[in-house]
Amino acid sequence: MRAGEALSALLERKFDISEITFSYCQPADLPMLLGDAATPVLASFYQVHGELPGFLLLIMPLDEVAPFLGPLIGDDSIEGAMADSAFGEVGNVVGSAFLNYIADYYRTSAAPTPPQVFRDMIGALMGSLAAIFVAEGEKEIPTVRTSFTQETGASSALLLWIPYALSLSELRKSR
Amino acid sequence: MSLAIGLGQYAVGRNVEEDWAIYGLGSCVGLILCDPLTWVLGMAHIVLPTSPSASPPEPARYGDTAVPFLLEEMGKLGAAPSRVTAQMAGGARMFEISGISGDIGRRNVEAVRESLARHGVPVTGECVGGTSGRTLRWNAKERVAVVSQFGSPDVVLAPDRCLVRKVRQ
Repeated sequence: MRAGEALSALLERKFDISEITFSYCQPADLPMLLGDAATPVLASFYQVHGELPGFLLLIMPLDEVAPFLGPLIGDDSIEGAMADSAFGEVGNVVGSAFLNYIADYYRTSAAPTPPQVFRDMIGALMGSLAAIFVAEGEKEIPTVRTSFTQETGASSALLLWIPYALSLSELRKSR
Repeated sequence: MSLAIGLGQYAVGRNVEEDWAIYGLGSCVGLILCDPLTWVLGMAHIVLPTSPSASPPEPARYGDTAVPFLLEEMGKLGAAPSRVTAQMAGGARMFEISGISGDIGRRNVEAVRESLARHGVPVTGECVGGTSGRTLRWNAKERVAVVSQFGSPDVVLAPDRCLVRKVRQ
C-alpha cells in the first residue's frame, strides 16, 4: 500500500495495487514470470543488503512503458538515458517504500543499492537470478510480488522481491 | 511451431522438423551439437558450470556434464561423436552483483568450451559474453543456428558450409 501511494504521488496518477503475494517457485519457472521468456521488458534492479538480503526488481513490458513514463518525462519517446533514469527513480521510490514497510514490520533493516536499469528479455534477467539461487543450492526460490496497474489500464508494473530463503526463514522466526 | 527448452532441459532428435529454441539466455549457455551427416541434433540449456556430482539427475543443467550426456544421447540416434560440431550462445554478465557466485556467465562458457575440447568437439560458431540476453534457435528448415538479441539483427551462427567442411576433413 505504501509503495502504491508513493507511486501515485510521484506520477500524480492513480494506480490499482494488487495484494502482496508470497510464493516459492521452481528456478525453471522464474524466466516465465510474464508468460514468455522472450518478452522484452524495462527493468530496474537493486541488490538488497542489510538483514533482508536479496534482490528487488520493478519490471514492465516494454510496450507498456510509453503511457507510464511519458507524462513523467514529458516525452512519448521511451528510448534513451532519460527514460532509463526516470524508470530507475520510480523503482527507487516504489522499492524503498516497499522495503521500508517490510523492514518496519520485521523491525529490521534493508538497504537497496543504486538501480541498474535493463532493456532486455525477461528470461535473460530472471534466468540469471535463478542461476545464482541454484548455485547456492536452493531448489525453490521465494518471491514476494505485487503489481501496480494504471487506472486507465494502459500499463502495469510488477514489483518483485526475491529474498534469500535463509534470511526469510530467520525473519519469520524472529517475528 | 517451436520447442522451447527451459532451464536445465535438453532435447535430442534426428531430422527435426520443428524449430527448437532457448528463449532469454542471460548467464546461461545454450548449446547445440549437430552431426551434419545424419542430422542428429542435441540442444541443452546449461545453467551452471559444474555439477555437484558425477551423475547429477539433470546432466544438461551443467557445463561439465551436458556435453558427454548429449553425445551419448545423440549416439543412440546414430550420431558419430567424431562428426559432431558445436554452436553456443549466452554466458552474459547481466547484473553487477557484489559478493555472490562470481561471474556465472563467464564460468559457464569456460566450462562448456573445456568439455567440448575434452571430447574433441569443435566449435563452429558462438555468440557469448557481453551484458545482453540472447535467444538461441535451431532453424529446422534452414538447418542453422540463429541468435537473436534485443534491439539487434539476428545472427546465423553456423551456416551449412561450416558443417560440410567438417565432414570433408
